[in-house]
Amino acid sequence: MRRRKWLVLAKNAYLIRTSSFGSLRYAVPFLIGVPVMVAMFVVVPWAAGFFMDELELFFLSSAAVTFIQIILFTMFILFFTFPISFSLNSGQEEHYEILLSAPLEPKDVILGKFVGDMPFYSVGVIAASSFFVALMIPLGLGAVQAFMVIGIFLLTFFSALWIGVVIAAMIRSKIGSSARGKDVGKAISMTVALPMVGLMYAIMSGKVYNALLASGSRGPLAFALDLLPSSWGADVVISFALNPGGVSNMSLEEPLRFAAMIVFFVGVLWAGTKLANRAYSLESQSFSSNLARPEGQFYRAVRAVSGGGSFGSLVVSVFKDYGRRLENISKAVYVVGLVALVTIFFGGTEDMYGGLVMLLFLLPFLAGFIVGEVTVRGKDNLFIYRKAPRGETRLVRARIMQSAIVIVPLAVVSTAISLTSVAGLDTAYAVIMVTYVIALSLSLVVFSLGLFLMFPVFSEKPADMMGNIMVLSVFIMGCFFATLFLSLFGEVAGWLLILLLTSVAGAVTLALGVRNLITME
Amino acid sequence: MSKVMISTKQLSKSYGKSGRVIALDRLNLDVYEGETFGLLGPNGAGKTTTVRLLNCIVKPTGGSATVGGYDLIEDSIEIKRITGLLAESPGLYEKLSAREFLEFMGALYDVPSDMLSDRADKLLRLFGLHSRRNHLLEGYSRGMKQKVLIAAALIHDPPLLFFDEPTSTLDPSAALMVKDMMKGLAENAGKTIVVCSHILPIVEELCDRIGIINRGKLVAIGTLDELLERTGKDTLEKAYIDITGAVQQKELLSWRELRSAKT
Ligand SMILES: Nc1ncnc2c1ncn2[C@@H]1O[C@H](COP(=O)(O)OP(=O)(O)OP(=O)(O)O)[C@@H](O)[C@H]1O
Ligand SMILES: [Mg+2]
Repeated sequence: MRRRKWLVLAKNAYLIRTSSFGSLRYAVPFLIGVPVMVAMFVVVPWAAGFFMDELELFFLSSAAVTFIQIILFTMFILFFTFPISFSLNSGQEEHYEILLSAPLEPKDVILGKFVGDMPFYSVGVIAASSFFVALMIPLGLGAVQAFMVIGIFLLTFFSALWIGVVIAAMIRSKIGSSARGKDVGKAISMTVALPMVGLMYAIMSGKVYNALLASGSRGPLAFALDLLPSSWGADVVISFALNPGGVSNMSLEEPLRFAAMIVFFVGVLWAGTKLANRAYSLESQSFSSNLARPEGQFYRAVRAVSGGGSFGSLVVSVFKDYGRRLENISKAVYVVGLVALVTIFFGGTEDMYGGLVMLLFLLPFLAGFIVGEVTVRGKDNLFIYRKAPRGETRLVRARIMQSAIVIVPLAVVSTAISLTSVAGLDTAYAVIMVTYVIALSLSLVVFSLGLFLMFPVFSEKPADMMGNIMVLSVFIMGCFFATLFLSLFGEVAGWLLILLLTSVAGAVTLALGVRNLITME
Repeated sequence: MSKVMISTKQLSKSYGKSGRVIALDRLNLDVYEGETFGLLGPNGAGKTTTVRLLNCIVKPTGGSATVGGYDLIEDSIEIKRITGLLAESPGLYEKLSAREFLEFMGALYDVPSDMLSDRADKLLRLFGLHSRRNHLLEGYSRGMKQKVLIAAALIHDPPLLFFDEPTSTLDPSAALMVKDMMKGLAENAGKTIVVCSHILPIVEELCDRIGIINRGKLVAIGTLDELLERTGKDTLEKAYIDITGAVQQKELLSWRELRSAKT
């Protein structure tokens, strides 16, 4: 009997992802899912009641609207767009010769990995949507409605992800025929996601949608937007928020839209499988070798900044391996591009702190992207440092130096972009802000280096990197809410508190990370 | 008798929380200065573990050792300086060129930069990689990478060298070259060499003494002649199989039996 190959591969992908759970690995979705559900229906509403006064105050304040929007936007980036660009990005892993030599069709490989990753992503999506739902429960949201909202998030997410996976496969089979091409493919994938974020968010926030409606005639573009399931879903969520309650409260339209989303997902899945088989070739890609360009001004400057000598050489070597991977550059462009997008969407609010809040949420990604490289060359690469006298210290120092050289200019540029939205800016304020952002990004570099050494990520798969980056951003969000509840938000003390907490946490994790680096085997 | 270079006493290593995998079990071994020592043993016997222990990459879970007179735990930095290692599965930076990788390794061992660039060029020329020195390592074949790694192990010119399966990916002439080079390093430059290999003729030719490890235990040690005498065999291969055991002929095809019974 022929086994379903994609199921075999899906199981394999699942086992790889959950390997750290040992014999409990099949229970992972429940182990994580159940506490999340409990938290959503019990803990969060209860805690929200506890803080009701502060919450109400916060929701009523004029600043809240911007903040909530920005927070939702960040969540949206986290749970919707990264996996898409990841799937675009992480194509080469499938080209294991072991797969090539087995009797497989391309669709088995693509579908298998997608299905195998589903439980993993579901946990994230359920967590994110639960947060959403938890905030709506105090409004009187019914249980069926709550589950439908979560379902909408899941369906939207997996439809988008699957479309991304198929498109990625097609892009790759077109351009991935050289080593350079592979790099270019990875680089494109990140930046391709950028306009997508813009468009999808425009739909979510309704700006474009409303603008199109306001322009009178429902043109083809408005019609096209209507075809996207995320707008159906957004409509359902909004109408639930407006008419919360039990099943009897629902009109026929909402279940219909929900069903349409399911049909859409199944249809996309089916069409994608057909397409994938035709567009995607499993053949391993030939590559041409690239010449290393002679050391130019830039690396000479890097060497000089690091103080020359063998430390300078180390920093330059690490930097070359980083800089020659185009996807690293595109990741940086991606984050700065997001800063620009947010500034465009939310700019002109006259609010001095809006930009800073946004940077607060985006800097962890930037730091994580840069520093996350430290372990992806594998354990054997770390052993090169382990073998060298005081190699571990050298590694840590060289990485901090290299990351600092990358992140400082990016932080300055991002701050500058976000400052363009502040009306009547004075220079002193700008200088203070730039300095603050530099200090914060440096402490985030230390923090994420510590994290990546504590929980090393030995593969290039960007999805694996997200764990540590999520810890970083949750930490920063925690700091942010701490300043809110301490009523320090917007005060100098509040900003300093965030910086202080991050630095202390950074120092601690780095110490733990180095200890792990020394004892890892 | 010449000076002892490596001396281990009851050196042990187990992996896992409760010591489930005993990779090396109470090893007592002396390697003398200027000697070439061969380490043999089946897959998973503990050869790589021994090499990693002696290079201070992993920490022992029992026993003690000195390398070059330095204590394995107290003076690990000094030991790292005087040893060079060709690792079994090395992780190199694929986006560096061969030349840049050697520069990187030299920097890790504090080789002065004027000496470094000269030495890197000479080593690359020796391995026939000079014309491709500026190509990124991602485009190198496995054997070419191996050559770069051997060059990298030599870049700080250490007195004690460890080669973990140096020739397993090399073409016949490159393997011959590496073998001759190890010979030259031992005879002319007075290096002490520890080599792990499954390629018995190389071990036979190069090594002054041979140790055989099986399941973490040193089960035999001596010169080639001593090993042959002890087992009463006439080749190293036969002696090796006599000491470590072999798969019985009749077992070789037993995995097919169930299936052929059905059809
Ligand atoms: N990092 C590790 N974690 C757990 N167990 C390990 C680790 N490294 C090695 N081992 C175990 O230690 C034992 C010895 O492994 P080692 O790599 O030293 O063998 P070897 O003699 O070099 O084999 P080969 O000839 O295949 O290279 C094996 O049982 C192996 O599974
Ligand atoms: Mg080995």
